[in-house]
Amino acid sequence: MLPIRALALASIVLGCTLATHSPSSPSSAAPSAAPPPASIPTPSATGPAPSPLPTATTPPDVVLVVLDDMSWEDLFHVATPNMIGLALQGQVCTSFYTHPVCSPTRIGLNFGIYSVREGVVGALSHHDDEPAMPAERLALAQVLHAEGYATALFGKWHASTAGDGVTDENARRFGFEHWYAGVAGNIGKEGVASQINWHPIEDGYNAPVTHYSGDLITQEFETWWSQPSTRPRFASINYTTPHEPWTAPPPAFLPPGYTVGPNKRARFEASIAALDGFLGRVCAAIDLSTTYLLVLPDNGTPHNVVPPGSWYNGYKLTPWQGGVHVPLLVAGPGVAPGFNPHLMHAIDVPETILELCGLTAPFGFEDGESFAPSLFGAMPQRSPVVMQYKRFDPVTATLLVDDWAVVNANGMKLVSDAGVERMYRLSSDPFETTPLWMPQLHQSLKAVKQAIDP
Amino acid sequence: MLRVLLTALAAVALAAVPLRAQSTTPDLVVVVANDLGWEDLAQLPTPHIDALAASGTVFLEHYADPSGAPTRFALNYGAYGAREGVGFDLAPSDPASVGASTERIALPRALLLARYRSCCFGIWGVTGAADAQPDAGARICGYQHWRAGIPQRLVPAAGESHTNWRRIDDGQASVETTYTTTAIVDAFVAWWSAPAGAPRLAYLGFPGPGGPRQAAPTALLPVGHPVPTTEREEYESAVLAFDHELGRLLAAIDLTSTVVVLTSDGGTPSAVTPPAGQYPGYGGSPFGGGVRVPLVVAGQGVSATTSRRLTHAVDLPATLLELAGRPTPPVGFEDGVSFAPDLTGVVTTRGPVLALSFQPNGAQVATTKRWCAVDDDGHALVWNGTNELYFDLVNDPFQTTPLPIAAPGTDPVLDALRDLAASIAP
Repeated sequence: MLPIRALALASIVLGCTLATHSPSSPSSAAPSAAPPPASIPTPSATGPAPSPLPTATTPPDVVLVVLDDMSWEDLFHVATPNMIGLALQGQVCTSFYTHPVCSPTRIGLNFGIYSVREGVVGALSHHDDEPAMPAERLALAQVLHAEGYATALFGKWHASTAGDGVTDENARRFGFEHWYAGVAGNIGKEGVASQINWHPIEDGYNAPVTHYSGDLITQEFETWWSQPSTRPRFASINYTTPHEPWTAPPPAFLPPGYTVGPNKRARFEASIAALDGFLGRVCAAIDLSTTYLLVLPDNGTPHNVVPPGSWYNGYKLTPWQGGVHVPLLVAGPGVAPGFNPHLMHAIDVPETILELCGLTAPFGFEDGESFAPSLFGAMPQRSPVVMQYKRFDPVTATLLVDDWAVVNANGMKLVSDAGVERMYRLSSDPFETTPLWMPQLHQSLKAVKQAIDP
Repeated sequence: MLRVLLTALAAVALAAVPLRAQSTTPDLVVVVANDLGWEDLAQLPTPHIDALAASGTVFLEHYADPSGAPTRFALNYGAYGAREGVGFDLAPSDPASVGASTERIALPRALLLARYRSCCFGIWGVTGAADAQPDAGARICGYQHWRAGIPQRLVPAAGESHTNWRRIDDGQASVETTYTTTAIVDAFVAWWSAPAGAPRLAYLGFPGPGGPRQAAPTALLPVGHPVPTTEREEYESAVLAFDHELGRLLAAIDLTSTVVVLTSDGGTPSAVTPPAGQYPGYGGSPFGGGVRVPLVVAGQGVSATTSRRLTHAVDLPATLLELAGRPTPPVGFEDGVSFAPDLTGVVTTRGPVLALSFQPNGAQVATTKRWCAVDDDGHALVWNGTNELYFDLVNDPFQTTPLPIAAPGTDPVLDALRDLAASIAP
């Protein structure tokens, strides 16, 4: 457990210190930063490559694993040997951000945009008759499929509503040729729904099963991945845990002797322990010499199962680090192990994957910036990223919550919580305890948010 | 009227007159009539189709399959339906019916990379209930929208007619009493008239003039048109109504920036053959009346001419991709050969084509097969289910006199046609 705690601690405490290429950044932080370009393995290298990306003769496979609600801090409380193994094999991205809520992040992961551009600022209800994502939006899987990739989605989608089309087919419209063990939105609420009794979607049709969600999602992935394919493949595996309902995972999916405590935080942690086993199965199924693997959660710890220590000012549904600063692990051909301090956001994932596959998008993805070069060497700083959550009164449509944050590549963060705006220096203050008076930077970061959401 | 063109079926091609080269990526409109034959156009006054044909290129040697589903598959995937086990119309209410795999790249998805927006209207008819929820089929396969949609065809057994049918609009179902042809054109005009800011692909699958036999609304017919009394007259009224509404569709389009394709999924229905019916077989058969169907292409950069270039529905996607400036995707589209050069007067050739239907759909051995293999010299080998029949279409376009059939291995032309059928048909 110690290594992942060390990784997590480093990410929390050092992450934003590392996340800078500016002259003001302490050079002492550099040793654990991204590996120097000289160490990049280039599979088909015949000389000095002009591009920092490895040049593969065949397009790589890609597997994206999205966990549902987990932050760095949770890794201090749960044994996750497979995540450790992966972290040691790949890069630990220490400055990766998501929105503090599911649907906006997932829209970012698939469309490379700030979802507020399409009016999505909170969790969608997949039963809603109000359309959410326009069919004209270009999705990552559409590009990959049209370029010859086999594409499949496993588990959760949560980026469309009934108003957008046939609920159980909405993900496939955006380029996934198959959708297995699918969930259109969420499985349901704690105390009502269950991760064991649910209605997975299998290519357009849902039917009840009695099968722990994480195991079924993994199993469907293993089955699909094991079939011979003449095409390169893209799998998007979206677990429905450790999100509520916090159903205790069956013992078969937990380490031997693991005892699940009675309260919901204990069941949440057990869900992470089970997820770690599923991640191990995913890693066992794929070949990291030909496959890029990205593992990340969609947002931080749920606000109602916060970690015992509760280091942060806020968790899910808040713009504080506990809601938006989450782990990202990347492994694959040419990705040398180490910390990657480059500033990243979920909206960057689609273009990063496309670049790793040697492809470009003809349009769309306008907010994302590929971080693929950072996996193989130094690259220019990313422009500041924005995290957002809004909530409206369901009856009066009055805006009740309008919280947001902006982080720049130097780890300076502007948080707006209940209308109060504060500046923090994450490199020295990762838990956001000491607001700073920096009016100029404050205004420039605020302008970034206002540029996408006036 | 297209009597002139019918005559031209057996005559030499006119000299091609190239127009100016295309300047920008064109909008694309594909109109697929249901069961419309050359002879129907020759017999009936269809001024809008005639005007379109006069302004564009008329392909005289164009083939569809003897069943709608494989033709529609070919029009969208650039591959013979047999590649996916699609040989015959899919059963509308069979949950086990299998059609196009969602793994295939369809034309609208390939065009997406050229920024094309896309909408399917009316009949899709390519995916089965086992592939995708019927109300989502066209969108799963790449059309961003699907308006006035009909998953397979109108189902009279379920009480459906052209004026009482279940329509799908982007996944939402409702009952429509507007005449199908009118409702589909209305939906098209609404979509087309909205500003897009990007090139567009509209694919319209009309249930008319085929589908359930039914007199067209009087308002869509010439003044004083007699009330139909026979099934043939009802069908003819549907052809006239189709032409009338096509006029409305064309009025919404700017042909200087749009390429319009008009074709049919198959020939005149066998139950309502033309009065002067000259072919040995019509809709559903592998003879000319079932598979040799109209193809008219008009609009931006398209010459006003006739072409004898051999074409099959399977050639359309590669053609439209070329017009859009997109390469053919790395997988799929394996049977089509673009005829885009022929639209500007360049004469290209292609290998033989296969018009094929079979039952049942799927990978199992076919119990029923009908096919016609044709090469660009007009040699046609027909399998009518029991016999091979060999024709020389140059001298015998209406297939009246079968030629003697040489034993395999003695006539390379015949062997090539046989080999094509053997390599594609299940």
